[in-house]
Amino acid sequence: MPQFDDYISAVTRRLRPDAELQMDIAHELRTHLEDTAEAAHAGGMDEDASQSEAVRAFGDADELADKLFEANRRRMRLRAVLKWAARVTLMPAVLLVTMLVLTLAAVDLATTLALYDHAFSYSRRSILPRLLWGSHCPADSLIESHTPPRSGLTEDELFFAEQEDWSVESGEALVARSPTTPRYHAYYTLMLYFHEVDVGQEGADWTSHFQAAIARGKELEPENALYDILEATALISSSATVPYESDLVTDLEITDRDAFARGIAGLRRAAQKDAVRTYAGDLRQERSNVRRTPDGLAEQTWTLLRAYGRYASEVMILYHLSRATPRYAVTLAGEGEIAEALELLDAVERICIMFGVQSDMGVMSRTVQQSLIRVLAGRALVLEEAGRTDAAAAAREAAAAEHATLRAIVQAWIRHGDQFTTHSSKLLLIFGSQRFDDPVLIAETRRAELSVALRTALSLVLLAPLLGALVLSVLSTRYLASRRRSDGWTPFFSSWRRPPRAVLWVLAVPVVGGLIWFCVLAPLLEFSPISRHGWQAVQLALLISVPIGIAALSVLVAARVSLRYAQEDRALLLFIGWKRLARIMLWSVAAPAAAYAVWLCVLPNPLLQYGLPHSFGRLAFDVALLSIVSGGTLLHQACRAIRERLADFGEELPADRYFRPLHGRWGVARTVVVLAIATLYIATWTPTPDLTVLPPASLAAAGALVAGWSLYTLWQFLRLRSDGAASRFRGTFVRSLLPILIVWLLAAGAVVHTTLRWTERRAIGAINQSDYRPFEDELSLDSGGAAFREHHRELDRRWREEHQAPEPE
Amino acid sequence: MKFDKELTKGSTALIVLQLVQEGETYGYEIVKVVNERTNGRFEWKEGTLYPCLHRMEGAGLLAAHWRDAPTGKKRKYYRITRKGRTELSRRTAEWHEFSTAVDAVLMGAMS
Repeated sequence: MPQFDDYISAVTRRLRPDAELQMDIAHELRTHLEDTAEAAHAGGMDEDASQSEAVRAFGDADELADKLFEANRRRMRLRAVLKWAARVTLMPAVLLVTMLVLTLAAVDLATTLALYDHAFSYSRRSILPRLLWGSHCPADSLIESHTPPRSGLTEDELFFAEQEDWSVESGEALVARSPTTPRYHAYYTLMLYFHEVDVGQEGADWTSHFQAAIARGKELEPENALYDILEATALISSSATVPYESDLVTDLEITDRDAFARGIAGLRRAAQKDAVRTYAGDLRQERSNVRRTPDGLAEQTWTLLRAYGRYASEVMILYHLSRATPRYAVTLAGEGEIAEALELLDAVERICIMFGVQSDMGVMSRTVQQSLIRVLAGRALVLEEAGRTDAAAAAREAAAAEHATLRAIVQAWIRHGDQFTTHSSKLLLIFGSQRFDDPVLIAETRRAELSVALRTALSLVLLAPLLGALVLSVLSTRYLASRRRSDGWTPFFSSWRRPPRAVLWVLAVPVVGGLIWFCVLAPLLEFSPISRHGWQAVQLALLISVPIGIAALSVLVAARVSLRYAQEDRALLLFIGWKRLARIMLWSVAAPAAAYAVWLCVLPNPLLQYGLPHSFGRLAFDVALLSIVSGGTLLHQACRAIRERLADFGEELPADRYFRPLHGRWGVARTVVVLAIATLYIATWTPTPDLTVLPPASLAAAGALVAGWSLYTLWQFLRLRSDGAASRFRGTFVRSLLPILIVWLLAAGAVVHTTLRWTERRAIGAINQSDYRPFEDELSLDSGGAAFREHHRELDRRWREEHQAPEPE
Repeated sequence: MKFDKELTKGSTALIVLQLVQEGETYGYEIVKVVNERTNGRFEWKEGTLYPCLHRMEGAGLLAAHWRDAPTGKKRKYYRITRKGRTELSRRTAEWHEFSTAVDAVLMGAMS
């Protein structure tokens, strides 16, 4: 309708400085004119005449233009100020907030990774794969041969220091150097036991080396119970399949009854001896004494780790024994062999106590207690089977008393961990409480673990795509600039057309990040804290100083970006409306977050079952899947909202100019990616705690899929033809909506992060405030577990009295 | 009968506020209703309604949003705000007082 076009153009000409308002008012007037013309046409007037009549009824164009301008002048001025404010502040604010959050996330992540690294492997290069793939970080890898020896060692000490720890070869070397030294032989036999007998695995293979070493050990030390115990454990675990479940009523599956019986007999023989001497703790202590503290590891942590690693071998023995024998005793009782069952339990109890009297704090004490409790619980069941209810109740009481001691041990560990940094204490808590049989502590520990893992995954998810998007936008801009597109669309940094500058910018991010890491973060993280407060002060200084530096840099960059925007004169929608914004947030943020919360709380989650080292990879997978679902919905909803806003004043976006991430090829690509990830997720599901939860290849494939989809989406967005409504669409998306969405996401991330930290502290606090800590001060590493040993000496005396066994010399 | 321009000027806002208060409506409909109720005596230039609507929207007396009309056409609808209602009450009272005063003067002259 050319008459209307000219008239409306004349009427709204003074509103041109505010293109959005001009479009809005023009469309409003047009609908009125059309209605009037239609009514006139319906009254019998011809089309041209009815349009002329509509224009005439509307009034003089010049007069109306002035009136409209006057009526909207105040609004236009306000909107101009808002637009200017948005141009000048929104982008810098977004960059500032982004950099702040990213820096905080990076520091948090770096601290967690570094301390996790120190606590579990201190092999910095391997930490990320270990975290992501959930591989096991056993205590036996803590004192490794690559830790350099101290200077000024004697020849013997040097020989000792140079041996690789925890290997058959090192055992052989020690025995070859000194064949009659009992502790070297014990160490060698233990190494054979673990590396060749392969305890607990199906198809275990006894080797002649091991049998010979056992025989030789018995010759060297006839009174040492170690060789009988090792032989018996190997026989038992190779002739029976021990279920993982911790209950005592699940039957053992005995594959070789003869071998099993010989194993049980061996245990009885072992129980008759005075003591068990493994020397492993002494050897490890010696070994760590001749080595330096690894670089970057706090002395306190090193002490703790050495203590932790000392008893790894004994832990394994007790672990296997205490799972098989009480079960077997219960089975015997069921068959009426009460006396035999009690005799067997007596023997295992005695073995536990033998280990207990020489244990100091840490994993050994915990394992001894766990084993002892299982034995006592087994005895209660056997006595119940025999109808001796009083005795059964006494056994149950004894088990409860030992359970209190066990709690105290874990409590002491946690409190000891608290003396370190917050992160290491958390991680020590996590590590120290694995497979701990107390439901309250397990629940709280798992909650803390979940928070740590989610926070770390969140940091990764925040860091990776934003940095990736920055690099991609620069690269794609280079491509678009090289094609000299002239459709009015000018992406970021397009003025930097010369390749060296673009390359410099791309390189600047990792280079600056690397410099900050190596010059500031890494040395400070390696700082050995004198006290907990000292470490907190360092952390605080880091958290304040680093973001300020980065933020200053980001403001400079943002100012440059803003200036570029200010120079452009293209229509921009100011705001899509609160309802539309709420809808975007509901479907793209709140709904996926709620769904994930339900998944974490209601459905069985492996993390809650098996703990952090087993589940972190899966959790990262969860977050990746969530981000692609949420990200796709976010794009879709945002684009839909802008399209609707444009349609309000008659700006229709053709399908080929409109970005619809859930439709067409994009939608298919997204569905394929989500399905592929889900398939990988299900296919790699291995609900067995001893296996790696997520094969590296599947995680890499999932990451590649997510990255590929993101790249494809970004690419398609940049390739959209852009003129008229499409230009306004993209302008609005990039300038108005994107900053708001990013700020929202980051704010939501910060809230989630804070909530997780709070949950974590609350969970740890709940453990700390438990009312069972009779050994609180005594059972610490510093006192060397004296109270615990004394407790077991008392048990030992009692056992001897009951069994009329002589006191040891 | 054609009213004097100065006479109608002050009443436009009152009329528009009253009509919008009766229910959400758009510009064309307001003009139509006014013409129906006054039998076309106001003879508004239809365009002049819009500056009035925009001024009141700017002042927070009205709120506007785009939505589909029952006919399927997209129209900009106006609804009255709380502030608008207060203003309508004030203006209505003012109008009554004014007209009563004018009537009183005119009646006095007649009697």
